[in-house]
Amino acid sequence: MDKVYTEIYFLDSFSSKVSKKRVDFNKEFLNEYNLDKDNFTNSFDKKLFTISKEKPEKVDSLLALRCRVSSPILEKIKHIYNIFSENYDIELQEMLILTLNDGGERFLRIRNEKNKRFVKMLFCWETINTMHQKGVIQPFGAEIIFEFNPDLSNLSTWAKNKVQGNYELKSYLRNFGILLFSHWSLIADSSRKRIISSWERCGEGKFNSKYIIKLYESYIFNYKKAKKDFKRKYGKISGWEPDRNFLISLDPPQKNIDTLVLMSKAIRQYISSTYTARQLSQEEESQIKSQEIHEIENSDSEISNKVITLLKNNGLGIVHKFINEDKNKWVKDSSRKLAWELYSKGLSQREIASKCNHKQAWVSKLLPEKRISEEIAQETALEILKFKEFTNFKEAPEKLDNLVDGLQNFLLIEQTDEKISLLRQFVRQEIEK
Amino acid sequence: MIKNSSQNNDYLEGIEISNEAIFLDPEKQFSIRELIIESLKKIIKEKKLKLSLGPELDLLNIKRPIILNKFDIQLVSSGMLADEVEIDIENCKEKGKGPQLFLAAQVEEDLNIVFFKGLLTSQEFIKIIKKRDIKSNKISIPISNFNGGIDKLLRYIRLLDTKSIPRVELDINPKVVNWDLITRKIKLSVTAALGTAGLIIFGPNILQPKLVANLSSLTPKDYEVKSFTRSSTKNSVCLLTPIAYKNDNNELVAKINIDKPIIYLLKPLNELSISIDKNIVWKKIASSTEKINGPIYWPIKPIKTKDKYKLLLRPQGSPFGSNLVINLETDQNIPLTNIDNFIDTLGDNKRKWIKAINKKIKSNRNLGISLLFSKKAPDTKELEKAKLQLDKLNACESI
Repeated sequence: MDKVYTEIYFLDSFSSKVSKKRVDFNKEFLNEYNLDKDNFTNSFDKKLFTISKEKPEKVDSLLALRCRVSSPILEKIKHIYNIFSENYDIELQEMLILTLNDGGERFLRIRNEKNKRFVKMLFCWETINTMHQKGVIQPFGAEIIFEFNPDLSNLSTWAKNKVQGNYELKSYLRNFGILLFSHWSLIADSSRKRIISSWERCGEGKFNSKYIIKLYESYIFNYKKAKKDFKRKYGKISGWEPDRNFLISLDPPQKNIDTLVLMSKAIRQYISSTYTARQLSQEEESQIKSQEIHEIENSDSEISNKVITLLKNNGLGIVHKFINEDKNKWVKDSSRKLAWELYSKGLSQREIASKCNHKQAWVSKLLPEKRISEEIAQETALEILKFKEFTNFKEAPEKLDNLVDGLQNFLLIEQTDEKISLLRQFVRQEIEK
Repeated sequence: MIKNSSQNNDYLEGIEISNEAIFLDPEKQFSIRELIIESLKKIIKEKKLKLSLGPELDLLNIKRPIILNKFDIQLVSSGMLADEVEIDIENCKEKGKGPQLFLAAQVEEDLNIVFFKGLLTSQEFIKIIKKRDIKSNKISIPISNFNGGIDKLLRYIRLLDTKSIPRVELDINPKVVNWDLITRKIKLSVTAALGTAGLIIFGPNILQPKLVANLSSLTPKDYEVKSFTRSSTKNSVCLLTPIAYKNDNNELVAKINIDKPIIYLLKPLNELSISIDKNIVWKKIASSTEKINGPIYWPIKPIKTKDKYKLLLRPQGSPFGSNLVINLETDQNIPLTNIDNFIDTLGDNKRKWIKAINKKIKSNRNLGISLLFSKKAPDTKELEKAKLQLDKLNACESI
């Protein structure tokens, strides 16, 4: 059983693994408070928090809280990692470096701005307050505790919300094409209609939709101002959490964040059930529209031949451009070259990902099939529109869409003679050059 | 944009960012408009396209549409998770100002990510909102109505003729919008005003009712001047002549075919200036004793063919910088009339004058008005009263 107030989880920089260690407490403090609890309680969290603030020079109460928050941080990070790691090349360790970076020491080394030397200071409230005044609190667990308000939420929820809104973590995931979002931005981005639907279908708690809508409307009004003020102060919105003043300004006024979190959870659940899980192989490969019209096949053969010649000329040029841009990275990562080769042989994204030892999102980003085919189709359409048979297409958006979609589809469907699409043939020709 | 990423969990934790999203430097600070504009520039640059993006000096003005390859496009934005997007329809309510296309961008402000969700053409937009009771200048529509991403935008603006997509024109608020109604109203009010006075002004001469009818067809144009200071209200410039229309670059252009055109104002200005090649050649600022209103005679040397003057008009009550700019261009299809030579041909013959005014009011408004207000016009009670009557006409306010 974990000892939530005496054991801390941290990323061991030597082993690069998550470790758990028992931290050192002052004997008097240990004797005064029974810290060896297996489970946390909100009242004990609050007690420790109050002591930390009221005795800002003391280390132990804050240290107990640091142990306490390490567990929800780890839990949340693992949760996010498990969700996304199936499709993305994200690293758990990298995510933990940013968030689980408190080793449970009693001292902090802080750089003195004047003489640029590091100074050893007690890891107490006074010290983190000084860091706060300088704009950055490290480690992340200390930031969570410093900004915690026990009246507004419990410490576990608070810690998980803070992980969700952690700017560094969001920036890291951004590089892989993942966007984390907070409860607050999700509510703000939602329409009245979505709020009603999500609450009626997935809402928990005693409140009816009328109450929730009233709360939502006042939230939207107040959030805009709060967001503006926060951005002016900190240069970003990440990290904003509703404070007491914000909650009181709502209609009906809120004592804590609980109902807002329930609203957000209802939306998350509602969206999850509305949208089906991403199927990369279905969505991004060969996006051939059902209403596909093969104008090329139906036109007379002279035009067909001209169009195919144009497609080939434009196609080879554009594929050359895309592959050439990527070639610079082949020395560092030979799997990129392999991915192009496998694509030219007709393998699916899933198969390419597996053979290249990467996740499917990596393949989808590397081989932008839709982008390449659209570019070829547009360039070809530009020339086709000069044919007298097609000039009136310039006047009609729907006709133009049909033409470009038709060309794009023609590039992506398997050619009967070659068994692979025209686009893959262009890639093959470029690779074999 | 939203695709569930919480497959085995109850709650959605995050979303996958589309491969087509644009990532800008996360360290830089941008406004939402800047993020969208910078993303568009990035796409144009990466694709090595030669597309003009304007208005060059006012690209960041959130109230203005952008002009991309001569297409008038209104940018609309929402957060990445939004299900609806709010659209400002103020421009759509004014004839000739509505956009041809709406481009929806989903923006992540902290991480500087922009995803172009897609397009709506003017016709598609009208179809979506046609059954709505529109009471304000904002309207929310589901973001799912926008489709095609940035590719569709590039398709349309690169491959379609500019005129293939009309501008949005909403007919929902007669006070501002219904131009036909406005025209009818003015005609009626002028006819009523001049009709009763017609016999007195012009006597029983058969020409007079014709002149009254012709004068009644003069429809002034009201041009809204936007102010971007919080405190100021909207002002407008009301012109009887010259009449300007927007060109493909969203600039107001008035075609001129006389060398000394009259500027006839039906609402007072704070400032009026004339410039050529970015140099101000004439300027007048209103004072407590001297208003800028009514007919302003061309104050500088006569216009020559190919001269390109700009009129800068700042309405009363508008702060500095809130101006209307009208480009004066000579009409290439009609020879430039030398007003003095024309007047010489009329001599002192009152009948000739009235006949000429009658004729020109119809075919060449500026010339007709210039003749009516010419200092060389015969001194007749009829013309004086007609001028006064026209001067009193406050058609823009009466709408």
